[in-house]
Amino acid sequence: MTRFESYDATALRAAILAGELSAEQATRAALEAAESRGTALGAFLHVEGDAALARARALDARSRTDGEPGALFGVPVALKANMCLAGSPASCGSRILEGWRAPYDATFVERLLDAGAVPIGATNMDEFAMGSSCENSAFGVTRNPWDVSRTPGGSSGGSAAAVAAGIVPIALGSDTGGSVRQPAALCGTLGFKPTYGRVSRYGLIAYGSSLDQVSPFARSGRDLERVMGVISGADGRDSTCIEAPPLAIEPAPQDLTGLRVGVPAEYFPTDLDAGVRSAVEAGIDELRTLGAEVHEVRLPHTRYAIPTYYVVATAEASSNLARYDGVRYATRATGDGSLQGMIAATREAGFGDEVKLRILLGTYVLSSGYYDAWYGKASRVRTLIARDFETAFGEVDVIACPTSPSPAFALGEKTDDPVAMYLSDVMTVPASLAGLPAASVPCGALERDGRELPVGLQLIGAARDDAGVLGCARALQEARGPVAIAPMEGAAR
Amino acid sequence: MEGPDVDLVLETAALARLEVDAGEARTLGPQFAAILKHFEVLSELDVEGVEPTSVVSTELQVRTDEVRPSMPRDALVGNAPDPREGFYGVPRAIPKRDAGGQGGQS
Repeated sequence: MTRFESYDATALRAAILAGELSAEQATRAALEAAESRGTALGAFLHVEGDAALARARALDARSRTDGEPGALFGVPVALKANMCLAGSPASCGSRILEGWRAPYDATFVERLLDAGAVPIGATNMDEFAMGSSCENSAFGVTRNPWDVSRTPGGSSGGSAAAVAAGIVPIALGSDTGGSVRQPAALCGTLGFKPTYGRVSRYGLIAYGSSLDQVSPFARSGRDLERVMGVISGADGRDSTCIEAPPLAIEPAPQDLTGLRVGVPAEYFPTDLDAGVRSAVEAGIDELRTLGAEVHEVRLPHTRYAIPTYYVVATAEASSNLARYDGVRYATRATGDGSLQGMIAATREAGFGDEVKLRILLGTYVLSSGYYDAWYGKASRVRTLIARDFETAFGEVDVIACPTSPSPAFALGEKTDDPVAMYLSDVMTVPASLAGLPAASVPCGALERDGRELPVGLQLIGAARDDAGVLGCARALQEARGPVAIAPMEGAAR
Repeated sequence: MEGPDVDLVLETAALARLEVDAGEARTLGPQFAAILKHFEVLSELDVEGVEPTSVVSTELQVRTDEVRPSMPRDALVGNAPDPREGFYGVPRAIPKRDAGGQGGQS
């Protein structure tokens, strides 16, 4: 590992602009790490070496008179495999999209490229972002770089592992019910889900359209702000995108003096993992040390969030995934030769078990006779969950709680029990249902089977207060010091 | 009859255009039932008079109505399993009158 691999994106960009290394050298180092560590972890589905090097050389060839260098000039990045980069495969971890290549750039990809970022490849994910462990990919599992016998979390597990292992300083994932915050916590990186609508979803392959948000991973708070400054902002190609300018890239961390931090008892149940509890409490103490005032808040409908989320998300998924019918995208199975037979056979062969289960659930909760009892009810409970947060944000500026009820769990531990797997998301789905900005910040570690596993503290903000959450996350990270690169415990060297 | 969970899976699979066979339905049935049982906690709540939330954005945005270039046709159709002369090829959907059955290419 070169010394530059421990740099965050902000430092790496500065080193490239200072002439300490070229964009090509930075990209080459990332590609080599993707080949070695990335392969050991199963982090990537596809690495785009030639295209990445060509982009990096073009950046190096820029003359100094070409204007202000972009905010991510020369920085190698990884994209989750549900994101469109023109000409590159975007399989969503599914057989049904195997071989499909994106015909256009997503808005956020266009903005990354304009800022000088260099995408090196597509990262592994639970199929169509449905999962909490990265074990539902059709193309193999991703491993946690802190202990390779454990999951990195999901669904954006490949992006989390790539950042945690120092392959790239930043990566994008998508967060529907916690798919960036939970893997960030389990892999010891920062992760940030913006307010719903802060980042355009144009070019993000849909799972649950009222919940999906493009969300970055990073190893520093200032990098989270930097990448959000690049990808956020209004976009006429997504009608749900908020009409607002991009977020600011702040020069210094936020002063937390007088910040009112709410701690909800509902997120600290008696069966919460003791190591998670003590690490999160230490993180809250750190916020207090930085000048914040800590108050208790109540979020009484928290226990209804998991069923509400799984009704809403599966309903939206069953609708979104209806488009994979063997006509327009990549793969087709013949079936009995009829049109209907072809569609059913294509979907049977192309979708994995978890995707089928969620399509069935979503179809059921939307079907005639059951709609009011399930989808209708869940949509109303969603309102109650959002109101809980509105009430709490009348009293506090930000809410602090665990990101995940447990540290990284063993591969295979929850694969036969969907309810247990769904409960992994219990602390992330409420903010998703309410569309709120939320970050996960490393706040300590605990020991399991002789290995150190990271713990994440979640910071949830009021709608549109992305800057407040990012500022608080950055202050906490900087107070705790640099985020360590994962040691790849248990991996073949 | 395979039991209510398995029958429900098979009925729903037909609606979702999924070709689930009986063996698969026997695996999915108990998972489906366990999840729905977990969801039943929602029935505790009285939501009379509560407005549903479907999208959390305060208002949907509209852009200026102006003509812009479309995506190149070949780039889209070329990704399909059976591109034909700029169109998507599919199996015949309306049976030939003399064949009296389904099947065959259009």
